[in-house]
Amino acid sequence: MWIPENKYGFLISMRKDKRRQYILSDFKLLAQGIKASKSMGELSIPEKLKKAYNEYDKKYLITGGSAAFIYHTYQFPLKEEIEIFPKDYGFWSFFNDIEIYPILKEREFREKVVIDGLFVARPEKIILEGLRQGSITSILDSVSILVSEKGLEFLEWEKLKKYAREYGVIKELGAILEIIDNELKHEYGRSFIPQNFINALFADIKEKGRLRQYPKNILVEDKTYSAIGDRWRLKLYLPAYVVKKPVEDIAPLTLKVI
Amino acid sequence: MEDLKKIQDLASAQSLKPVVIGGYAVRAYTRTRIRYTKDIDLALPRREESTKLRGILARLGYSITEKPYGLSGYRKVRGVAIVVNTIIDDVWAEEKEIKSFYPVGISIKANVSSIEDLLILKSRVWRERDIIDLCLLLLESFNSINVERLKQRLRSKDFYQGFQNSLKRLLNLIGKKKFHLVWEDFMGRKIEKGEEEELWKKLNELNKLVKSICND
Repeated sequence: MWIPENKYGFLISMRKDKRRQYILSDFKLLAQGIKASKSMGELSIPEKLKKAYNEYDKKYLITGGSAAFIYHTYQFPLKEEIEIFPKDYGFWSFFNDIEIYPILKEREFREKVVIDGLFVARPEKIILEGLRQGSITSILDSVSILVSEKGLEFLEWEKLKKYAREYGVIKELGAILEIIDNELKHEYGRSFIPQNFINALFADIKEKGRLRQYPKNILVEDKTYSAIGDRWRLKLYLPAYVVKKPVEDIAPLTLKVI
Repeated sequence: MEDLKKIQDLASAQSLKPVVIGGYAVRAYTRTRIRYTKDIDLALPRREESTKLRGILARLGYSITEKPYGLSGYRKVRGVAIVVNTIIDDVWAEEKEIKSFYPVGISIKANVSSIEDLLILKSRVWRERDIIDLCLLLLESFNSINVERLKQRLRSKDFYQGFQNSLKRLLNLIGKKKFHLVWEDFMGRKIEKGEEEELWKKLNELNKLVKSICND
């Protein structure tokens, strides 16, 4: 719970992932939020975000499916999602057309990517969050960023490895990269996934414990990549189309093979 | 959406009628927003017609690649990639309005797969995305299904048994946790109890209809 120094204001409650969170926001910030949201009523969401930063100095980071779409422009997001600093929640709480997560951290904002004047979470974060979430659409977002021109333009492989450890998805990342690498080579005869990067991830795998099922939420058990899964200590049921579709639809433009 | 309109306009000038299938077709029959991919899927009845479509796509600036199932076209507009995938398949069509979700507010009239053919295509492919599409089509456009037309299509595609099996598989998924999780993944919200009951009813109704068709 974030409490302003003067400890008075409106107590705003919100439900996120079955938990209730309380944020105390001072009156000035709330008044500013009401004024800003009314004055920006007709603007598009990107214009609102730019204005919130330029005129009210409110920082944000586009995240989740909306950030993924900015990189891959392939799978549409369901909603616009941003992370903000908890102290600014009073301001943002009046922007009803945006999903607001008051969890932004200084490091993540500092490391942001700026695309068309918008502040976007780094591709490494979106890729790894997608893999950690482990659903069909979130993995499709991760794969699509990994084979997209804009995703690769901003991707830093070292950061990807470092954060993969923090997110606890080394195995998942390694397996997905090996599959993308194989599919690219099979389809176009070459790949842009660095082999030494896959090898470095593989060196981190511990050969013990039960195989973890991945992804968790599927309706059809696809064993196309089960042998790769075994190598990475995963019981892999990844539907083949989650990799093959972006490799067929996005990668030709990235590889400039068409 | 703009490209889809351009393709349709140029195609009709050459008496060619590519049929919209895939996510854009589902959108013509449903209101609910789900996590669609942006590629444009089209069906052509005969392989000879893909030569004409190839010319149209090339005229619009697409680079074309031959695929075992048809052809794919790629181009970039203001840095954004657009992909058109075509298959060779006999798909019945009707003119329908397709609304854009992103950005909201744009709509076009297009030659869209009939709901019966769309149900058949989705049950054939049977990926998570197609299963959710099937559910949406049943929930939001059940009354548009023409039983006689479905019968003809199942017969011409020799897919009675396959279609019935898909309906049974879907019925078996209703109420299961894994179905709820996949629904939530694509829809961004939980399935409501009433919605699931409605789906169960419509699936049973369709199953009965298909059974009676089979016994005809």
